[in-house]
Amino acid sequence: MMSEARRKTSLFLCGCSTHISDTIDLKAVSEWAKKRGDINVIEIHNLLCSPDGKKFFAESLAKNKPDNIIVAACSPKMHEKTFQDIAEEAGINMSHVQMANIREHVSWVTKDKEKAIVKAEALINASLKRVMLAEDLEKHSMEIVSEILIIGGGIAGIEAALTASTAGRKVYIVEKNISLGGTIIQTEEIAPNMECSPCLLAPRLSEVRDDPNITVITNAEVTDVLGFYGNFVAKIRKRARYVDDSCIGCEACFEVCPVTLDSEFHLGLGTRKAIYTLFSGSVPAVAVIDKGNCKHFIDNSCDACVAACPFGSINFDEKDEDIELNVGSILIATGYNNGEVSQFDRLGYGKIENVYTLPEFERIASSNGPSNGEIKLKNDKKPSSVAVVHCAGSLCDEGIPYCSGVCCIGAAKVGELVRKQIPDAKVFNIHNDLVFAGPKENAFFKKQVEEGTQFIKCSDLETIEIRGKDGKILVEGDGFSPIKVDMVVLSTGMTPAPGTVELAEMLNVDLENDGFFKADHELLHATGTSLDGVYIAGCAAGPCNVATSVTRAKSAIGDAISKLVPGREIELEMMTAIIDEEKCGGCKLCITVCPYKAIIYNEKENVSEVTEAICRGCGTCVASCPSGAAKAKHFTDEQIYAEIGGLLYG
Amino acid sequence: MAKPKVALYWCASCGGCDEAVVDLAENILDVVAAVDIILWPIAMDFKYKDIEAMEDGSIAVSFINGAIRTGEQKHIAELLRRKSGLVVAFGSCSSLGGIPALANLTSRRKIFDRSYHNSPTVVNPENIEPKMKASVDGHVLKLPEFFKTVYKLNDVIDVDYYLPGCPPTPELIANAVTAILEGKLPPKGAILSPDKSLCTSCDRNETKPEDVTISKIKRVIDIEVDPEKCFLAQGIICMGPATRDGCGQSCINGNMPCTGCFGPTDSCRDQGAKMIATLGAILEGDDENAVDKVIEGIVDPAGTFYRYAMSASLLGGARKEVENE
Repeated sequence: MMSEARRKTSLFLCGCSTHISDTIDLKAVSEWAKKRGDINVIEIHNLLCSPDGKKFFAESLAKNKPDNIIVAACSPKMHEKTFQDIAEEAGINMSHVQMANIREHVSWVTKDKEKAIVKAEALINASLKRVMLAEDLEKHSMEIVSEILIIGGGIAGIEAALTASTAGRKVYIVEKNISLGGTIIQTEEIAPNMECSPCLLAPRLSEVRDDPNITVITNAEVTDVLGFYGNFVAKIRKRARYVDDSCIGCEACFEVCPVTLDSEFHLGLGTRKAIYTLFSGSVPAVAVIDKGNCKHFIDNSCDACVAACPFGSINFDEKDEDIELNVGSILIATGYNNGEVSQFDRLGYGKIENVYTLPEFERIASSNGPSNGEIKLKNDKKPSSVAVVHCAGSLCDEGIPYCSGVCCIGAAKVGELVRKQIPDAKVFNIHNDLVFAGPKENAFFKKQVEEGTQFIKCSDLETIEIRGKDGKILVEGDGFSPIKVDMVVLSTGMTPAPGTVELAEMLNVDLENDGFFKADHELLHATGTSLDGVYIAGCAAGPCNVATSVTRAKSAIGDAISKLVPGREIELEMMTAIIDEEKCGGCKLCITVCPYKAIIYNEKENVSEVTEAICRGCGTCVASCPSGAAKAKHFTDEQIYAEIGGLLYG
Repeated sequence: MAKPKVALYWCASCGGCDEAVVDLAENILDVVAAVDIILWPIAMDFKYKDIEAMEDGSIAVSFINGAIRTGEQKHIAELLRRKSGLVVAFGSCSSLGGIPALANLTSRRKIFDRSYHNSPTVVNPENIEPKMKASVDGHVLKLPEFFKTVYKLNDVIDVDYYLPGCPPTPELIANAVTAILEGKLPPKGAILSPDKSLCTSCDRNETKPEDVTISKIKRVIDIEVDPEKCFLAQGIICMGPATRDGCGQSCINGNMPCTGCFGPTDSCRDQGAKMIATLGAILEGDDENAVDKVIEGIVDPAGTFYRYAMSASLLGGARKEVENE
């Protein structure tokens, strides 16, 4: 309620150079204000936001000590804070400064000078009615949490973590898979420079493992995130491995495990056991038991691994673990998913032997792959000819509508890898368009042409038909003569990582139409998101190559740590929502609508409660509270009704 | 000592509020023993002129139910106000306009057209309509005015307390009467029912998930209603969250959703608008069209959201241009 003492009101009328004073007769408004009798001080200034104007404003406050201040000037978006800050310095709570926007709402849009006066008076009256009900707003601040959560342990997540650690910051990497490495570890060599991917990654993995600033949580997922920049609480569900940390990854248990399964790491081309690691030398090295397929868990019929383990590491009783992390920023580095081609019958994928996707071919050609890097056909013979189909499943409505921009170089790499093992093999790259942007990429393309890859232009890739014929594979399409080959590689594009939509909802950040995370600003803040303190890197921010992934990661983490300086205070939202427990019916609907998960249900008292440190004051709960128990500070129903009433009824 | 005098009066109402007094059952004997009923048109024969003859303020309390539709109702309300120490708006219609106030969605002209001309069961070849004054063979007949708008009681007289409900429960009535007799009254203007929403006391609130979203609105005729589960969680619009507690969950116990007869809580101005705002937040659809589709499931928006509180709503009824007389 308005206190009786809070009665003294100052009105400042700003001419905004001539922007306001040319249209609105401020003298007339001032006369009107004087006659009202409820405005104690009326001041006119030609440009209140100028240094001279601000001084004038401050001196008037010091002299007259008003309780409420109305600044009839421009939009509150322009200078509300300017005048609130000066008022605060004069010991007047910022909530008692009310702007009446007589520039955008009156002088700029009103030709009739008489009407302009009436409108200005109505707006000032509305401001007066509202400011009379203002209650002091209390400033709260808290020290930021400088730790950072990185979701995803691929190359982007790893490089981001190492960069943050160099700055002495603590980071957590939460990885869905059982060990770090992401998709880059499934590749042998990276074009155009043909760097050895495992050699590149192995020392970085060791560094991460040994870095005291980096905590790696694998086989885990983020289940919920509360809070805001500087103070997030992330809930993590860490699935049980059933093998404890004493495991060094010696693989002794693999031999004795009786269960053989398709390996996800090899994209189904190779096998693993029910106790497994992704690859030798993984970080962490600790194996995992696949509970759903392990005979111990199915019918208690086997404990071969227990006997085989030299370290006594098997622990069938291990439980899933829930971890809560308090972090200041979150970096999304969840990578991408390989484009699907199985929906295209004409491409023969999954039906014709020796038709592979590009990622599958990468596995076949990898030294840590199912054939230890030997490129061969299903019948173990070496292929004498390979056709690579570009843009498979891309640039079409049924698949990926866009160009991923990085598959062409991968597709061109097939020839390089094939010829390394089978020098006289014929390689045909069937394409409609080629993307080799940049001098090195273009040089790589030229090298492939020189070394024998035939780049064949198809006038319409949607006409490509792949069929088995006479023990070979026939590739046909518009604009080129049919070719017969032993192996076909379909160059697939990149789609958003599985779970991207759920993660975006959980974090309350926007996605692009293509499904990848949306940048805060495409040019100036490409690794930021729509939510302060949440960043994106690697392919989570859109398809890109390894170099760009890492660059994005370092950019994002640099951005994050430049803001999260330990010891720095952040001001908390002052205009939060509050729920009156005396009035709350506990209907929980505010919990449904709160985008920040700032409201919790107190079961004992049957009321909902706002966690003020998390509330951002958006007012959604206030608007939707059906019993009127939720109130937005500084935007109470009473204030808004008073303002509307003041505008409509004088 | 003389027993306190009590008047019970009905305006535009269905009689259910009076029935609720009868529903006090044997407790009514205590009431009758404690007070002197001097006016109760539905049950006993009294004359208005006797009331008019009474001294101002001599009636301890008048319980007035029903909305104000006619000049007569306004007249008696004013009379009782003058003669009474306390006036209690009894029931939803008196407090908020109630069902009769749904007529504010149409106009007096349209109501007359329907009732005196167009209704299939009406035979009115001379197109006679009620008039406030008519002369027949030199005799003047006067009728009360049929107002353009249905008012709630406090639109026409000062009201001391409100007993919400359609009708108020015997328990609330007994509590109110006891409080009045014992002089233990809350501040003037109070609504004599808890100032929290129905969810507070609803047994089903426990079954409401923290993430209630509705992707298809259902009516009780569409599904077999789970008798344990929160109606909103079943996709049925229940006005409970936007409705004051105190009814003892009569409808919920009958496996029917709350329709809002207790009106809003103190901190809410417009019950219907509030419920619409709430639904706006929890209705789910991927795009505008999908949301429109969900909204199509609300068959009778006015009757759903404003069944009892139309006179108290911010908009007050239909747009003014329908009032085209």
